[in-house]
Amino acid sequence: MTELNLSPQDALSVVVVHQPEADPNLLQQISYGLEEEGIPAHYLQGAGDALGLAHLGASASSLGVGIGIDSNGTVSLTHFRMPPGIPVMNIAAEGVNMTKARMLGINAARLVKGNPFQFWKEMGEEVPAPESPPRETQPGVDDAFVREIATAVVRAFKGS
Amino acid sequence: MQLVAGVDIGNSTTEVALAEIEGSRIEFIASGIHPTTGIKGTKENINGILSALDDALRKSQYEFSDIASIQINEASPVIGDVAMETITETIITESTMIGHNPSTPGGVGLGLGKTMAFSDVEHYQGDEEIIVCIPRDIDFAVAAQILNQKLASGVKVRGAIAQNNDGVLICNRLQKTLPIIDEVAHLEKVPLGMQAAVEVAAPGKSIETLSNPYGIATVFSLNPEETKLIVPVARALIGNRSAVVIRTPQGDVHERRIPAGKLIILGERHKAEVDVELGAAEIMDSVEKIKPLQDAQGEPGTNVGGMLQRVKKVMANLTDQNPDSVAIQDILAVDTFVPQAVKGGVAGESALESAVGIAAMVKTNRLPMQQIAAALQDRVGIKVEIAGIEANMAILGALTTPGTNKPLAILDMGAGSTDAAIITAKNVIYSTHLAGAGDMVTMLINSELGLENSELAEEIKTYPLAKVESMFHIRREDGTVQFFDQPLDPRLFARVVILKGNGADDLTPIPTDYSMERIRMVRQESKRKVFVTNALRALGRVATDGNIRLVDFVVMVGGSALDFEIPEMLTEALAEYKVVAGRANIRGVEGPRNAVATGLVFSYFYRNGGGDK
Repeated sequence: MTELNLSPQDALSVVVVHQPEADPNLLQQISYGLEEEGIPAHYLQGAGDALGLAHLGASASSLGVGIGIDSNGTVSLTHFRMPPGIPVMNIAAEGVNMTKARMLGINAARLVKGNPFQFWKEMGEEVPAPESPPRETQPGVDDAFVREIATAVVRAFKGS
Repeated sequence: MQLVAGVDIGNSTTEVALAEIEGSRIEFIASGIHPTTGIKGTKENINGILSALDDALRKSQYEFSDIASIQINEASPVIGDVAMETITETIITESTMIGHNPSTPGGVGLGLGKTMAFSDVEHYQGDEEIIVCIPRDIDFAVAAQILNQKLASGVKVRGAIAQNNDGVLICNRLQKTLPIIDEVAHLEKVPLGMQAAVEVAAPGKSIETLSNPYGIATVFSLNPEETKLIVPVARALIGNRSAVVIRTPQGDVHERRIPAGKLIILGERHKAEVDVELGAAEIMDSVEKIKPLQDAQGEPGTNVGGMLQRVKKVMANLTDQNPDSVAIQDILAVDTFVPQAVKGGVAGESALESAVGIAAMVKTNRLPMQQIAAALQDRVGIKVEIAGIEANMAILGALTTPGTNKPLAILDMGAGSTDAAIITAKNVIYSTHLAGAGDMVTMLINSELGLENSELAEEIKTYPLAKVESMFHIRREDGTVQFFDQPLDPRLFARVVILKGNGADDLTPIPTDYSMERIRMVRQESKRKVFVTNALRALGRVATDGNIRLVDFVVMVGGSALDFEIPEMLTEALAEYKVVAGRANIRGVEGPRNAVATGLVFSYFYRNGGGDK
């Protein structure tokens, strides 16, 4: 699965893509987070790791925001302009809980609305992204390639 | 030909001007700069001087041994400090309001009723109107289910106060729209069985009833006396999207004036006592009437007494004097406000309290420049001279700014004091030192934004702002957009940031909810309150008959002249007096830097028969 085709209504949402075996409670909490912030969500199943699924969702979402959940409990939040290897925010499988999942849903909505994120306590003021070093968990994608994509994305974004 | 170096030891930087002098010819060949080592006026300065000289020599074809004479300045012996005192305080007894602003309250509208605990609501069948208090451990789905049951059976539920951030979730599951205010951290402090009003405005609007004293009076049927008491509550709620006001029998909110004490200003002939409570304008009136000051004291045992005592103590420590012998020579008072937590609040409510910021300045004994000169001479084996008073040297240097002429005034605004000097058409120089400069601006920014972090306040003062609009771009305060090729730190997302440079690493987030416009306004107002006020005061003191219009040219030198907006503010303010004011451009190349160092070389040149002054 490399691309999703959503109807315009479905696309006008944060697209949540999860492995079929992903914990339904996590999905539930994410949906509550999004609902509290008043942003619609669309749910789909897919195959791949959390970050890859998030990217898939983000590319399909006309809001540009996607969340990916894998069966281990890793949850990723990303934006379609983010380079493929780097999430906006990530919950590692070993540290996942319902509070964080709800907060990630809230943050997905805030990414859409342009409001500052909430950060969970044990994260302190740490940046969430380096929590899962994307380069090691992404076999077959080398740094240079990622950088090339990033440059291309930025160039497209700048419109130059 | 002689090679002469002028060396200016400032509080933060040591600057050097290097010139060739031959008879009546003078040619500047290089300048150098280095951070001042140690505290200004101590022998630790020598390392900084040598580095600054090296910096200049590297840009020339000369060696250290070629220098014939080093000229250093007689530093202006003033030192300033700042302090602040709040003069009002809002106290809520028997918590009567929750004015906090959760980002996503639920529902919309105004609900009136008695507060009731969620556990009691489950079994309630009466016909009183109620406001339900939902604690943290109740899941929103359960809360919504029970509220729906109650509404269906005819219980008049009119609104809710929730502890979790789930107002929208509850509201979405109700059959009827109710106003729900959420994220009330200390729900246990909400008194039960009391009349309460919950108001939530539609998105994009702010509440209308509870921010209006008469609105509150209508809701709670208050009499005129009670309505007067409720004004601070209404005021604290203005601009909120949601609010709760609870009426308790003994409930009382009032704004109290703190007896801040009297400021005693001693002049040569007169003496004045001003109540600090009356604000900055009164204090400054008295200072202007009484000037020049001999000393200022605070009424013992009051806040202002303690404040001035602290200032004197700090300055006594810095200058190695007895606190009793430190005499305050000038005062700048500025009205400001401080957001402070309301005493007795339930959800961390804050109110803006009035405060007065005071900067004080003292003259110290002469700094031991002679010792520095002697030590430097020993170290390098070159003749070192103390050439003259800092203000006079700065004027000589400032006159090299293209487009200037006498009578010319300079404004040197540093961290602790504002210095001004004027040279008349007849070459007479007057100078003055006033309290209040960069440090005071930092203090005002710090307190008005409630930062409690003076380093951050200093950065807000120094650099422009931007808003992070996406993971890849920011919008600067002037409206321009900048893109980054790597995603930004998520902690920066949607934040207002300080722009220290052009890279992604140069962005520092400001951890407040204030908008960029608001922070910018506070920054600019603080600068105006201190720098524009002081520029006018200082020029008034040095100008003939105190008439600023008689000054033709004003140039700004020193640290604050490098600020990105202060020079423009002063140009604008002084244009009203038909004064040409702007940032200096020493020798047409140095900008506002190097004025004193350049003046030192000129001073040597004139003393040794070159040209006429």
